[in-house]
Amino acid sequence: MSRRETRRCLAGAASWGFLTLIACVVTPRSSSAQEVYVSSLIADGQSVSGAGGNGTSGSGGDLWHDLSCSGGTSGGWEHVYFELSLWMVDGSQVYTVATNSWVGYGALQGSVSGRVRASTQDRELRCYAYAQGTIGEFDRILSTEDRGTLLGSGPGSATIKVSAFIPTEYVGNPYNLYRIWEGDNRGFAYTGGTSRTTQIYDVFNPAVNDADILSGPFSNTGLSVEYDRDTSLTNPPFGSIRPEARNDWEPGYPMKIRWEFGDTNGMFCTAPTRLGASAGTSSHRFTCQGDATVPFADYVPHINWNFEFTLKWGMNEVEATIVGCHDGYPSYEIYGNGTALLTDNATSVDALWGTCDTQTNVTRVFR
Amino acid sequence: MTTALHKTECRVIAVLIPVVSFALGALATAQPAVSTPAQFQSAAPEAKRAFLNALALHKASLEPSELVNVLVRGIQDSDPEVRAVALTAFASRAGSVRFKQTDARVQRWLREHPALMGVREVATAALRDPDERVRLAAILALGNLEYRLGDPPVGLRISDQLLQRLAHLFRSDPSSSVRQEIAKSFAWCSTESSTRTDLLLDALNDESPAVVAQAARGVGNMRLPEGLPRILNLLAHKDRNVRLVVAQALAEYGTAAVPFLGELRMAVLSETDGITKKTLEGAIRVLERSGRQ
Repeated sequence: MSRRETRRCLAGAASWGFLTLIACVVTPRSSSAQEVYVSSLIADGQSVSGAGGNGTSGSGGDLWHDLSCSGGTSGGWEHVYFELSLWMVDGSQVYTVATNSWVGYGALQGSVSGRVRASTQDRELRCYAYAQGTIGEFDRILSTEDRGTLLGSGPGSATIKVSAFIPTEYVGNPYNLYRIWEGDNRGFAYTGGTSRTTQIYDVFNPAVNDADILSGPFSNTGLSVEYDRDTSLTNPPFGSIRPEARNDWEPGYPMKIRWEFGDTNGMFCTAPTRLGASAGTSSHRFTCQGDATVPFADYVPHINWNFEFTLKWGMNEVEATIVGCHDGYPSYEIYGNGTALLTDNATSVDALWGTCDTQTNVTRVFR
Repeated sequence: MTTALHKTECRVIAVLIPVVSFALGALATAQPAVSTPAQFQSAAPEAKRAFLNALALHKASLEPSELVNVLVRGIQDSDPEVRAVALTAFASRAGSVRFKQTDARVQRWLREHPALMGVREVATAALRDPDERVRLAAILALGNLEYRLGDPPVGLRISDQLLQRLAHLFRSDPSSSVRQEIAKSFAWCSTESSTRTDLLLDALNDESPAVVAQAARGVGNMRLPEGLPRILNLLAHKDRNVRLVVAQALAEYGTAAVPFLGELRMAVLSETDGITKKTLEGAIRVLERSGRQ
């Protein structure tokens, strides 16, 4: 910047105050960047230099972001007042996270740091460096800035859905050749269709919430139905279940023989345990498990599952690690906010005799 | 020349040292695959469970004496999960021909079953295990052990001795899952016994709706005259599954329940659950037909 231009800016500053300052900020002068500069803009140990974003302030939770920026002046200043400010732009609000100033001459270097709560939204960070003083015979006011984005910590909550279902329309009762059990007749799907068992658990994002559970856990079971094979199928022993059989609500032979809802006694999820914050993320852990009876027969195996969830919230996503086990039958599916995290196909009914014999160790990301 | 050769050897040794070290380390940390009772005894809990599951799923086989050895060690393990899986494996082997009667399975069952009878006392002791999963698995094991080849696979003929043990457990066990399993086994078994009827009638008062539903199913299956007025009262139970099962149990009674059609019709009027309502209406039609015959 020439001497004339610099003075114009100074005059403007005197005349227009804050508005002029903003004008200076949004047009950093590359030619004078050597005379005052921002050298780093850091969040949680990582450089976040780049485009800014908008968002809202966090209000709770266990995750704080450590922010810092540094800058300085070049050696040509005979006398200089140097100020470094770290701002966070949150929607239409601009917050000062930290500010500091130095008076001296020549090359000054400084840094400021502060902490802000996590938020579900992206927020813009600005590191603003301002220098006022004399270089040679000229009075100078110079400024520059760096901007970056502090990424949101993921959604405010997650809905975890764990289901077990029979993928076929029906399955033969292994204890009675002439009886069939109604299945759910579907593939993997977050919504729609029935399941043998369902657990739904809404957990808060621990990064931004002091509470852990939004709602649930809710356990549910589908209607178990036993049909007489030969009077219920369109082409026994094969074919589909006839509509008349489905609509038969008279207990006993023929067609639909008996039905009941399974109980949810053995199904539960533990309360999330907070694992704390680390490197811009916050984690918690909980377990969902179940032991459900197979109806309409005595001394028959149960279906079992046990899943330990570790959810790591940060960088606008949730990283879910699911470690555990389930029976080889029926099919199992787990979703996080509608994203499939686990889809394991049923093997054969024989697999009911295993006890949580199919191991699970998956890591998936959802938003 | 000698120097060059020496350098090559050094390079080979330098490459081999980490490879051999890694292989030795891997050998030292790897869990041995369990295939014998001796290996089972010293295996980690995960390896024990995996082997017991393989036995339960008929993916592993042992000589009958070895099978018994492994099952007993598993049932007496310090880890409750191992104990539960061992009892489930025991149940699976003892009742394998209930589930699938192929020639190969029948032959194996005939070889194994006499030996498995020797595990009965150990499994009976597991009914007193502090872990409810173990007690549940013990119930399944002891029931399946009573299966006799040629009997129907559902509705086992359970000895009065086992019925009495289970009835005693029912009256003292705090776990509703255990009580439900016992009520379910009593509901479906084919043994005619006062132990069975007394327990089913008592279970109609249980605090757990799941237990009450199983008891109502059993009372209906047995068409117990003294159970009829008791289950009629359950038409107003707060749990829809209890009401659903009671409607079906009343239909099981046939003509004996016809005098109570009025109560059923009243229940339809106050029923709020769609499936239960349709079931009540279906039971009414069944009883109306019984009354006409």
